[in-house]
Amino acid sequence: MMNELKQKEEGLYHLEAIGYSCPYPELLARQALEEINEGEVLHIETDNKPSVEEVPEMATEKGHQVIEVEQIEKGRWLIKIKKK
Amino acid sequence: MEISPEKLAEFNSKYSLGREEGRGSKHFLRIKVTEGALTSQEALKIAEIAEKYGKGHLEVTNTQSIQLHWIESKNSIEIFKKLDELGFTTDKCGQAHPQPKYGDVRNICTCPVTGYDEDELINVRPFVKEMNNFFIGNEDFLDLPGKFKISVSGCRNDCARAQMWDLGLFALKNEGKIGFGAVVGGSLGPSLPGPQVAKPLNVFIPQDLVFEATKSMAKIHKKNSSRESKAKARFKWLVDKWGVERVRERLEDKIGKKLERLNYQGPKISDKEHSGVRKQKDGNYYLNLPLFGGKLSAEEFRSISHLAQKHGSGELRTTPYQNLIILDTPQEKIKTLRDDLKSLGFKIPTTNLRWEGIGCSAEFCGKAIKPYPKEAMRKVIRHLEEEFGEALKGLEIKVRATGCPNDCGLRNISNIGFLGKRMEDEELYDLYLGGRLGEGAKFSYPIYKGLELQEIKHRITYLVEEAIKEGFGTFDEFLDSHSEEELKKIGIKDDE
Repeated sequence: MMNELKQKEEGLYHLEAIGYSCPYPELLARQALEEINEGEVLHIETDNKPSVEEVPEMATEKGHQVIEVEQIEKGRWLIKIKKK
Repeated sequence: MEISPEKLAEFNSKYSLGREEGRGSKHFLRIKVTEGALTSQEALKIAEIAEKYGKGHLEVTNTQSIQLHWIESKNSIEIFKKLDELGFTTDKCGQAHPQPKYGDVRNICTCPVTGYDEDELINVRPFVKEMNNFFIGNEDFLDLPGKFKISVSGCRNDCARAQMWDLGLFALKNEGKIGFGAVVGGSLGPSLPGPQVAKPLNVFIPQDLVFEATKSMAKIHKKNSSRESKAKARFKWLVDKWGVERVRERLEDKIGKKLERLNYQGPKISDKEHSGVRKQKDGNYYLNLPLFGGKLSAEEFRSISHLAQKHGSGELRTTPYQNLIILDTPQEKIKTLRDDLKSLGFKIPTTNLRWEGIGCSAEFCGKAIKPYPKEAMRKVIRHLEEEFGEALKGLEIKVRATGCPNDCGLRNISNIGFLGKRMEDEELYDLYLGGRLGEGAKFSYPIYKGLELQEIKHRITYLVEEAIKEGFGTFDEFLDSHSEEELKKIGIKDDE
């Protein structure tokens, strides 16, 4: 498993992409979605604003479900994706 | 493409994509061409990357980088691997993070003909190389409050424009010894406290301390510049808040030496391109090819690289004026080189305008819908050439166009600059006059607002016509001899 990907609980994974500029959050998310199972949820934490658009775009393109994009503090977001 | 966590961490310290949203491009890739130096072989590889991943389009930037557009995230690791094999890195583009962090040291702007220029004070390439080796990929300098921009000039033109950077170093002679003067806190953009001409440190930096001084200045920025907000995060805000004296004291503390005081405002001459064909120290010649806005196709880049190999040593240089220099051509081959370039469609002009005209890439960055500043600059220069031809010689007119107040197109420091407006349907500009670097450095002032390009062309034509009629040596002298009101009237003579 990638260093940045941690299992939080059964079926829920957290990907810490803090400090990564484009294209890394998207690439890490892409890789993480390949590692987890269908139906499991991935939370991607990012402080790179463009990733707030790019990661959901990539996930949608791949057929996954974007549950929510939540701003958790100033300049930091949590992107929640369910693997389909 | 799979990548190990170790390689990913390494790439994250050396490579990134910048976000943009114009002309259907989502990302740009800004390849650092360190010391502006690349070989034909490297150029061919970069052309190949541009062709495969960036629709065959390249741009030489005014920080001597090569920028590609239409780069897709999914291809990025493959591209980074290719660049890694070639020994190139990219800017880190931390500006996408809304917080004042992840600033890096940008491509150090330097004289492209250093080591070759017959008139230079000193070859600065070894100093710049040492700085690049230290800063690139250095984890200690990847989380600066804001980016940090450095220039080093060893020529007598200060072609790298010391006064517009966070730290500008320019060679000077002091009591027979060659070392460096330094100016700090320059910037053309609107972040606080607004556009600034860099302030003189008024010290003489000996050659053996220039690397240490540069490193120390970057550390001062890292430790003391504001992390309160992005708007205050550039070094200029700290210089303004502290004053130059405190910056100087802190620098001396860091390097552990008192520096000799020396009175200067900055480089006396600045912002002049090494244009034309000129003799090198070794008797060969270099040819500066004006790209007239920096754009070229992968095919053109490839052809130029072949010519550099055929007629020279294969060494190329990117310049801070968005141009390319072909080095090491023997005198007897210059004519053939010129002819070969002409057959590729490249004109070698006789005035400075095409060499020193600059435009930003606003059409890609999405900060402007219209206009396309590079195209606007080209149209205006072509128009002036048609109207005045050889009479433009010596006037030292610099036409620069930018799409937004961030001023990547340098309208603030140009004697003719225009600023595009964000418009859906119209192509409108504000016209600025009177900016310059060097002695008497000052920013340009707006003279007309919201004009169509056609109207801009008319008004500039009247102004240049008057400058020629009044017999001024340079366009700057003409501007200095008239008030803003007078100039405004000269530019609208048709309406009177």
